[in-house]
Amino acid sequence: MANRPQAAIVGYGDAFADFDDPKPPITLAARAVREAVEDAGLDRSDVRGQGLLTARRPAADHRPQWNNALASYLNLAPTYSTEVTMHSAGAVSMIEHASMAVREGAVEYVVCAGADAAASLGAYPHIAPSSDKYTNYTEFAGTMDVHPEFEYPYGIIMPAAFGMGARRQMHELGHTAEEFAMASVVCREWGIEFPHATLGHKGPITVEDVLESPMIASPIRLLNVMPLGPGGSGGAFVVTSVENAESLDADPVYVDGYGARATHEHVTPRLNCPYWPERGNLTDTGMADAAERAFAMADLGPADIDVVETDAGTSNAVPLMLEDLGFCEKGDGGKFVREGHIDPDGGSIAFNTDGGALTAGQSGVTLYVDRIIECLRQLRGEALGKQADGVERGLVYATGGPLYACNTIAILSNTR
Amino acid sequence: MTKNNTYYDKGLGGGRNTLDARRFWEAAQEERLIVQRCDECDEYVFPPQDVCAYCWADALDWVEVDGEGRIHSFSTIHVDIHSTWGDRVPYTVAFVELDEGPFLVTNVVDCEPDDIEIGTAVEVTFGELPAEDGLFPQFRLRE
Repeated sequence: MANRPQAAIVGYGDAFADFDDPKPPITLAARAVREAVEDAGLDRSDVRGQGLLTARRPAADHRPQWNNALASYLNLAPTYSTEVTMHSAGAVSMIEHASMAVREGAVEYVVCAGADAAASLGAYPHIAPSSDKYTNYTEFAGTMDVHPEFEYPYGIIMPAAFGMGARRQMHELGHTAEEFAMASVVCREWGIEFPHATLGHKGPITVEDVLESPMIASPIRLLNVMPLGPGGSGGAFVVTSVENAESLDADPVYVDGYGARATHEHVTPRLNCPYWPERGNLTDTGMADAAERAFAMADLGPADIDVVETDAGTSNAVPLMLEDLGFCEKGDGGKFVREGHIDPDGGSIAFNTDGGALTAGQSGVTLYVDRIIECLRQLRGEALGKQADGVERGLVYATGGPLYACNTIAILSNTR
Repeated sequence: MTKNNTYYDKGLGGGRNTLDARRFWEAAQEERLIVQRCDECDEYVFPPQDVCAYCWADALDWVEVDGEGRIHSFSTIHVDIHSTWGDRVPYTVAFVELDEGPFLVTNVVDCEPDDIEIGTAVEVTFGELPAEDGLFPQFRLRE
């Protein structure tokens, strides 16, 4: 007997900014929270003195205790509040923490929010740990997550770390550059109709386009990498108990299960770890373990999932994710993409319906908040772009840090 | 580049060094590659730590390795976004597996990117890095 659902998401909200009309992250988060509370059929007084979780503080606003900055902005005066980090993947952990808090009875409601704003990067240099880095986001983002002493001096950049992982995938699992390109092509197809997609307006691309795009860090090319954008995005949702959800005038989405697994903060210690994943292994990741935990909690399997919202900073992650999340056998991820299983037309699962980070982009560190909101839109039949048909269950997978260091998963459903 | 790290000793290498790895950088300046091995659990520990990463014992010893290994994976970087490397593109970063067992991140130098693949035999060489002081272990094709 499954113990699902764990909790209910009774409202969500979003907010966007453009490069030519910037808004700071805190404004985007506040607007998203206001919309989420209203969507839940609640008043601001209902969520005052309750729970407030925020995802990792934005790259464009590095104030510590950002959760309390947001609480102040909206006068939420929370009784249960923290910033949730598993790198950016902490966004999906918010679902786990909020579900536990309402099940425990600590609070009735938990507001969860996150935002970032690519157009506002460098706006607060005085509170950034290294202001010169934060005004050059490309370098900041490109060198994030590397070991400061044993990796950074060698000039390793994030696409190169993912590139070295991609090369191991090709070597061990038989994935190909064409399959990595195909993943970019499919994410572009999904995202073309999403109104806030950074690359959507550029139209469809072909495998040849990807394979002929400039080399960034071999074997990763420009069109294998996610863009920076939109100018800003914020998302928020309200979690409460299943019982509370029934008494609200809301359209709830239920939390069926969640799971997480973190390995190592940097690649060097991970490569040297003598146990799981064993020494030198970069193709078995924490995502498989996180997925098993989430599916076990929900008493469901990959075959029950209609829509997957995830992120792939580089498109070689797509086949690896499809394998480790259980949608196909290890080593078949490339074939799964090639055979059209994640295509918008005729695919077997809806995948990154807003185009994911590869097309929608990332406005900073809020990409997984964006993915959660997109999953909620799909489950409620309220997509801004392509709406998948007959969606009942969705899976959000987030990964943060170098080469899948932190992995978080939530399984959501629009029916009990 | 200004360095205001309390632990930093000019010329020691490891421009952002932690005290845990001090011995490693001192040896590198003498062109020796040393890694830690735990007397308690016999595992190699890298990067250097003060406490064994695996059995948590205070039993880490330093052992010198030959500096010979193989390319585990690599990537040649063609974009100019790293402030310390921008004028050197293309350059190659790699994971190297030492014959003794440990893995490390490094650069592959003195060769064309097309000369290397997974499994290529390499050996350590000590050289300077852009915007850093001192010598760092890097790798080149083994003769």
